[in-house]
Formats: sequence, structure tokens, C-alpha cells
Amino acid sequence: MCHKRAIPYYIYICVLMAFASCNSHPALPETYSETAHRTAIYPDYTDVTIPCNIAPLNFMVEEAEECVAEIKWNGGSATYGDGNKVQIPTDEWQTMTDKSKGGSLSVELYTRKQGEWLKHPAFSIHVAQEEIDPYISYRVISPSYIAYEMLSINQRNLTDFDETVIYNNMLVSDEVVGQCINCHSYQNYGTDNMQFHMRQGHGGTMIVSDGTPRKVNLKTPETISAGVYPAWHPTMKLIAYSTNKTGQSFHTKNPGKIEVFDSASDLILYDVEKNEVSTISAEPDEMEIYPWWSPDGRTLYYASAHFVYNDSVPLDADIIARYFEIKYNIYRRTFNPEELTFSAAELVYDATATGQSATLPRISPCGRYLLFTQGEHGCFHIWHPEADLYLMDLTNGEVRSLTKANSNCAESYHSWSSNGRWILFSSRRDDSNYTRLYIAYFDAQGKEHKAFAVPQEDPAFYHHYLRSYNVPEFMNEPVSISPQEFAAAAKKEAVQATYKKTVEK
Amino acid sequence: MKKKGRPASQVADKKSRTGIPAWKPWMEVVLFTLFAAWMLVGMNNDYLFTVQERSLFLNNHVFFNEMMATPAGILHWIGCYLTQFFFYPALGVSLLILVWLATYGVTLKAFRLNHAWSHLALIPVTALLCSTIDLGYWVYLIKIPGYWFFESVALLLVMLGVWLGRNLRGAWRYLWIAVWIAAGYPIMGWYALFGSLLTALIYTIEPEKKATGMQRFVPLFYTVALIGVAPLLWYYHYNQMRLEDAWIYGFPIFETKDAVSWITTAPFIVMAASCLALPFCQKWSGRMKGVLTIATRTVVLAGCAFATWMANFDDYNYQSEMRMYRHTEEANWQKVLLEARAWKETPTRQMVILKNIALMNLGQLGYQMFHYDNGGKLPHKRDCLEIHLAHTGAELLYYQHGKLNFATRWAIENGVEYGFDVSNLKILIKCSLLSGEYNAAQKYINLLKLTTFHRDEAERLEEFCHHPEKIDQAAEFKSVKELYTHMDEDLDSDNGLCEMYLLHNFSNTMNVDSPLLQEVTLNYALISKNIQLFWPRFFQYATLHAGKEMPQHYQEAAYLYGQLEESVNINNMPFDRKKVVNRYLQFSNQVQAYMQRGLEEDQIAEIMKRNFGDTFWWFYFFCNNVGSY
Repeated sequence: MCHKRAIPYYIYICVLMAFASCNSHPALPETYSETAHRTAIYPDYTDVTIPCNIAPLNFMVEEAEECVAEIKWNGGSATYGDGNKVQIPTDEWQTMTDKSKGGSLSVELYTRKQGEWLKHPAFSIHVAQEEIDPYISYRVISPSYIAYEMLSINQRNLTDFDETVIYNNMLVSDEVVGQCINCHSYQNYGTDNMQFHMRQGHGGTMIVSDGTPRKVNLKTPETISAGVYPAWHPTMKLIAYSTNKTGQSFHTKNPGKIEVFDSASDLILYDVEKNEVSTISAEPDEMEIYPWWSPDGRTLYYASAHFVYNDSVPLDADIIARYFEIKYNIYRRTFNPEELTFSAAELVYDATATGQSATLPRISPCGRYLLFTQGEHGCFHIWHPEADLYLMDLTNGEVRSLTKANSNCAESYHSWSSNGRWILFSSRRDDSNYTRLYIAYFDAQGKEHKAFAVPQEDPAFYHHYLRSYNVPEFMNEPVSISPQEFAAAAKKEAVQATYKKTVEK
Repeated sequence: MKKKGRPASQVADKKSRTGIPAWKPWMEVVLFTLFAAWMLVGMNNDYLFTVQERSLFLNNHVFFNEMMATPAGILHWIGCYLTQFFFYPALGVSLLILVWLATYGVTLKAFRLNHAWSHLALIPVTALLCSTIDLGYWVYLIKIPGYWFFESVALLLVMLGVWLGRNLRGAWRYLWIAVWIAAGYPIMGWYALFGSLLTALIYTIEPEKKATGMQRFVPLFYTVALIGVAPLLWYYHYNQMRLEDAWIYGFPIFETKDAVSWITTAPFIVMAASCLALPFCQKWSGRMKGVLTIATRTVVLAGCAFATWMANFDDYNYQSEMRMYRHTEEANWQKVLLEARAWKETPTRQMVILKNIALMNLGQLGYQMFHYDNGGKLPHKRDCLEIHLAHTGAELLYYQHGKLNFATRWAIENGVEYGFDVSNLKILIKCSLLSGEYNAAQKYINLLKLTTFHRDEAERLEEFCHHPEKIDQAAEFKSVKELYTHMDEDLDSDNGLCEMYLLHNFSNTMNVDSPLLQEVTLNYALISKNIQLFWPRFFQYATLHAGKEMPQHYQEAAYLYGQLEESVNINNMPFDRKKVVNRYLQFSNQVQAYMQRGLEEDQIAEIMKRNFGDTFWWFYFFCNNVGSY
């Protein structure tokens, strides 16, 4: 019958169409006007330096009705464009970046606006020789204040667009008791030894040791709280934590909107194998936070604020009234791995001397650079629009702002790639409210390059996504434990850690 | 002549024609349609408009993917899409009734109910009707995307599946059950399990001829076994589902931290139970005749009507609050006051605050504030749900008071917990525009543009984003902008109590730069009934409005406080002799007279309200125990 006979043709046409849509290389417009005006693309990938193994930098031209990009590389060129978006198949992108290592891709952009085609000046995408760690992980969270619903720690393959869930709180949350998850950490970029923390329902710290998850309770009578901000020792089964009594209050007018502050905090060391907690630092009138190990594991860096309470005022009221006075410096203590002891604190960077507050110290894998976030006050800089990334050269103590990577919105949590050539950090530059992940190249001369947003398959994704990314960390392999396995471990009773008194040397 | 395979029930239908008045399903259809339309459009028009405001459908794949992250995701997506049509309540209702009628029709086919028993197929759809109008304040707190169509479309699919399944024979039956459970679960969640169980029940009740004895139960055991296993397997696919919920995912349970609301969950239990009963009814209906059939039909139809009537959340304040919210959003102050003038009972505090916002925008606070009821009835409650202003309107109230950060906070808090919706997107856009965060405003505008019916509003607001200079010229932003501009920065928290925060914050604020902000502080000082807070703000007002008439309510308060405390000498103040001095004397004398007669305070309040209910004095003495929430 007629219809049945037509079926093969329909299939053939469908296959052709599918094939065409997968490999669309639009023709360049035959007629166009040249303009010296560089049209804005989103995300802004103009003149950035990228790793040779990154996923395609898909982008869109928001103000155009249509666009075509001609990408030229050493020995080839191709055109891309679908509506006002430029989306490049991963295999084709890999070909062009492979052939452009140490060189550049040139992107010539044609846009159609009000029916007229324009050719804009070309921009470059520099392709570095150095690769980036293939995986990152981060927490996905609505920019919430107090309420939270769905939180997850996700991992993303940077070489493509594959994103999977490491753990999602909805696996164990119900209407009666929700669960908050935060602060994941890995030992030296691997995932066999890792941890994250869970609060409220099924609370505890999930410790993965040699690939086996176990929930522990790090809160002891001698410590302020369970472990909060973690740092795995690079080689030993030790985790340094800050213990924090954290609160928050709300600005009525300030664009920062929220002030997250600690009213007390100390540092502890958790011995994973012995399940023992000991104190690293609990000095009176000091609020220690954000520990981080040097790459050799012999020094512990952290931030600390000196704050003396006014005895005549309730503590919380005092801290809210004087929140702007809380400013953090960066310190370090030498670690003795044989005796598991720490030296006295040594001031590394005196931010308060310039009226600033420095947090989140991170040492580059080569051990030379100290990367940190600096704002005007406090420890939770993602809510401070003025917060920027700063770098200290530990060989000479020089401190400078990473101006090429920073923006006029908040920059905060950052981490170094394992080869020290890439800095992954969170930034609110897109819209001042939602945190997105950016990557900046850090060259062998110690210079940062213009940062670029972690690419998404759909360039409009960030515009439409109502969640923030935070705590971005590099990994050299994906977490292999399934979310359901983590959930099963989370539902078990937490193993209580014991407290071991230590003597400071 | 009995045809092969024709069920006994249909034969019974023919037999019954002689003694029973002719009754056709279309009569039920007409009755149901009219009744449902009346209950929905006639009685719940404002609620349905609010439903789509408190729901969201975005035509992009981020939204689609988020929906698909849980079982029944596609149904949630469809539900969200269709819920948008309540923007025109009659249109949304038409679609919903069409789904129900289709479900009714397919149910007749699926269970082979004859005309005499067709009314039984109305029970599940009536349960859905009840579930649509019984929500009350859950409309603000529901966590089921697209709820209003989700359940209805799901039941329609269940009935289609049963219809298809019952016509299969032999191994196809087992294959169908397996496919339905395995592949249907991600599409329909619990409904796929339920539908397969219904089908298995039919297979058991109407076994194939070769099945004998326990063999007839094999499909049922087989189905139950698959139901036990399949959700477990899917649990490992979805990464945001509790294992304990795997078998009930998609079945609406209205749960707070403390309890389950059985009132709102009940319609679904009835729906499920009635569906499970249908295979038996179908089998037994052939045996029932004459009067019994009529009696059953009468009971069922009357019962459906009665249940719907009882389920309907019929509360005046609930609906009035929604109308006032909408008018306030549209900055239609006259309509807000029109609504306030029509109040039939003591309003909720949200209604009172919205009324005051309208008066503030019309510059009539000092003249008319106490012309309206300023009491505070708690929102009508009929289950375990604890409702707070923070859920029903905090973002709008804060926005209208120029507290943009707090408005943003509650729009996001509620969005995070209960899902972003059109209403909080609009607030977020306006807050971002007025606080100068144009990139954030554009983000929310882009999202609103992805809806079906709010694109025009998004484009209207986008004009302000592209031309911020127009914000200052726009009447709708005038008072908000002024309040925001002149208020002080502070680090503070409302602890979830919106009205108490506004009251405390504004009554303790002193401002001389903005006459509007100053008047709001005076207004809240009046509401707080705090004499010490009143006087400095009263004098500030007088200074800022030198040479102008002092509004009557402020005179009333000054005169009263001057009488109560002599800390301020009022002898030289130019009070209106007729409206204030003489009237206060009357008020005072009458109160004393009633007290001497031994009347209770409530009785005096009621009597005095007739002549003095429009004064600050009545508010001060008799408006107590206001139900702030």
C-alpha cells in the first residue's frame, strides 16, 4: 500500500535530517558588512587561554537573530551556528584544539541583526600546551538563605559535558528532617580518600577511606562542632578541619544581602585510621578557619581573625553589631608528621594591616604561590561583592590581585589544578547573585590569564539555571561510589570519634 | 443473543431496560461538567488564577531536565504546562474537565461498565475534582510540580493502560504488565504500579478460560512481584529519591514536619480505592437490578456532589486575600480598597497590610487607615498546615515597603523550598531592577519570557532593564523606590515573622529625608500603640508637612495620648474641634457609661464600633488579640 511503501523514504529522510543536524556546518553569509565592533558573546570566551583537553566552548550572541562562527586553526577551518548559538561537536572541537596546542584558534563571527549580516573582528582562543585535570566536583545549591531543599555534590567531566551526581541529599531527606550537605574534599586529587559533611537528618561526616564510605561523628565534648571546612593531608590519612559556630544575618539594603559569620572557630586534626580528633589550634580570642596543607604536607595554612567580645553585650548581638570588625589574616603552622604535632602560629599575610580580610589559603602544587580570597571583612566572601582572588609569592612575600581573573563581583572559593597551571574558582560576575565556575590559566611565569566560564553544552544554560555552584575542586578521576551507596552509609549510625588531647610544641 | 466474550454486565444492561427509566452516561457527563465548572470557575476563580501564579512552566530544556530528574517527571512537566492555562481560569478549567471526561469515558471502556453503572466511573474523577479545590493554603506550599493536572493526566493514562491491557490475551498480558511497570514507572511513578495492579486484578477476576483454581491468581502474584522489584531498580537510576518513597512516588501525600494532612490526601485514597473496586463492581453489577441500581446511582451522584461541596476550601478571606494580592501586584490601589470595603468578616493581617499599602500609595493613610477593619483573623485552617505570612505574601509585603533585600530573600526562600513560580519571579525582577542589579533582573526576565502567558509582562519589565531611567518615571515603582532609597542599611533578621519585623523595624525608624518613609514610620508607631514611639514621629510629620492639614487619625492619636499621658502638652495643638475634640469626648463618655452599666469589654467594643469604629481610639482600646502569623 502507498503508505507502507513510503515508510523507507520517511526513514531515509529522517536519518538524513538527523545526520545534517548533527554535522551542520552553515554556509557563510554571501553578503555582509564589515564592522569594527566586537559583538558580545556569552559566555565571554574572547581571547581566553584554555586547556587543550577542555570541552567545546559553546557560546551564543544574545543580541543577534542569527550567527555563524568560522573557526580557523592550524590546517583547517569550519563553520558553526544554529540560530544565535554556536555549538561545536566534541570530536571536531578536540581535533582543532589538538592541532592548536601552544597556538590559537581564530574565530570570525558573522551576526544577523535586523536582517543585515555583519562581520565582526576575529577573536582568539589560545590553546595552552598543558592539560587540565579531567574532573571537577562542586556543590549545586540554590542561592538560599535559610531554607534549602535539594542539594547535591556533582562531578563534571571537563573534557565533555558529562555531569553525574556524587551525592544528593534528597536520597535521605524527608519532610520531617532535611539534610544539608557541604564541603567535600579529596586527598591529593584522588577520590579513594575523600570526605563530605552532612548536617541535620542522618548527620555526620562521610569519610571514604581506600574507597570505603563510613559515617563518623566528629563532634566531641571538647570541640566546638563537627569538622566543617576540611583539608586532607596530601599523603597521610589525616584531615585538618575547622570547627565552627556559624550564624547568619541579613542586610536590609547592602547588595551583599547576607552576612555569614562565625562566632567561634578552632582547628582540629582528624586521624582517619584511629578515628581520633585532636586540637590543632584553639586560641582564645582567635577564630581559626579554612585549613589547607602545603603540597609536601609539612605546613598547615589557615586563616584566623582576632576578635575580643564585649562582655557587656550578648555574644550574638555583639558579633552582629561588629561584624565589619572581623577580619582574617593568614597563618601557618609547621607540622611534624611523625608526632602529629604543630608548631606555634606564624603570620604569613597580615590582611588586617590594610583593613582587609583574607581567607581560603591554597598553596600551588609547586609550593611557591599562596592563593587566597580577600574582601573587606568576614570569612564568607561569596556574599561580599568586593571580594577578589589574591596571590602571594611565598619566595618574596609579594601580594597582588589576580586582576585578569577577577571581576567587580564576588570571587571566592578556588583550587589549583594538579599541574598548577589552572585555577578553578567561583564567581558571581554573571548576574551578581548566582555563583558560576570559572577557570583561569596560570602560566609558568606566574601570570594569570583572562578567566572563562566552565563550558556548557547549551550556552544559555547559565542564564536559565537557578542554582549556584560552590566548593569547586579538581579531581584526577571520578568518584566511583554511587549516590545510593553513600545514602546507605548515611543512614547508618555514625561512628563516634574520640578526642585525643595534644600538646602543642 | 449473547455474543462471544461480551461481559455479563452489558447483558444485564439490556435486561434492565424494561423496568428502569432510561439513563444514559451523557446525562452524568452533562451534570458533572456543569457541576465541576460551577465549583471551579464559579467558586474558585481567584484561587485558580493564583494557582498558575504559584506554578511555573519554562519552555526550555533546563526545566525539562529538572522535571525528568524524578519518576513521573514527564507528567510533572505536562502538569506544569497545562497549569499555565489557569491564567484564564475558564480555559484551564475547560482543559481539566476535558481530561476528566476523557478519563470517565475510558474508565467505562476499561472496566466495561454498562449504562446502569456508569456513575461509578464518576467517583475517581470527582475525587480529582475534590483534590483540586480542597487545597486551601497548601496552594502556597505544595511541592508537587503541576499538581493540578498531574494527577488527572496520570489517572487518564492509568485508565488507558487498563483498557489496552484487558484486551490482551495469553503471554501478551504478562508482557504488558512487565512493560507497564518497567517503562511506565519513570513516566508515571506510582500510577504505573497502580495501573498494572488494576489490570492484574481484572485478569484475576476475569481469568482466561484455561486458568483454573489458583492459576487465576498468577497474574496478580506476577504483578505484585514486579511491583516489588521494579521501583527498587529505578531507585538506582534516579539520584534524588528516597528508597522508602520508591513505591509511592507520585502519590500525593500532604505532609508537614509534624503530621500528614489526611483531608487533602483523602481524595487520592478514595480515587485509588474506587478504582480498585471497579473490577468487582463490573463483575457484580450484572447481578443488580431495578431499584437497587437507581438507589446506588442516586447515592453515588449525591455523594459525589456532597463530597465536593464539603471538600471545597470555601473561605472568604482566603479568596479575598488572593484578589488583594493580585491588585497590589498590579498597583491597582483603588481595586485593593474596593475589596477592603467589601470585607465580609474580620480580615487576615495580610489583607490589612495590603489595605494599608494601598492607602499609603494613595496618600490616605492618615485619613482612612481606621475606616477599615484593622483586626486580624488567623487564616482559616482545617488540617495540620501552619501558615505564615512568609509563605503567602512576605515577598510582596516587603517589596511594597521598599525592603528589597528581604523581598528577594523570601522570594528565593519560598522558591527554593516550594519551587520557583511566576509570582516570585516577578518580585525578583522588580527587586533587581530597583536595586540596580540589572543583570540579575535580565536573568529573571529571560525566565519569565519562557512562560506561555507572562511573556508580555516580562517584555514590559525588560524595558526598564534596558532603560533604567524609566524606573524613576514609573508610577508603579515610585513609593517602593522612595522607601528603598531613604531607608538605612542594617544587619537584621525577621525570624520568619514578617509583620512583626515590619512593625518593629518601621516603628523604630526615624527619617526626615523622605515624607513617605516618615509617614510609614508614624503609621507603624500608631499600630504598635506605643506612645513613646509616636510623639517623635508625630512631631517629625508636623515639621515635614508644615502649613498642611494634620490628618485626622494622627490628630486622634495625639489627642488621645495627650489625655492618657501628660508628657506632651497638647493644649496649644490645633485639633479639629468637631472631628477630634468633641468626638473624643463623646467616645470617652459613652465608654464610661457602658462600663458603669457593667458591660463586658467585648460588648462595649461591638457597640462602640458602630459610631467610632473608624477612629484610632477604637483601634487603641478595642482592637486587641490581633492574630499575627
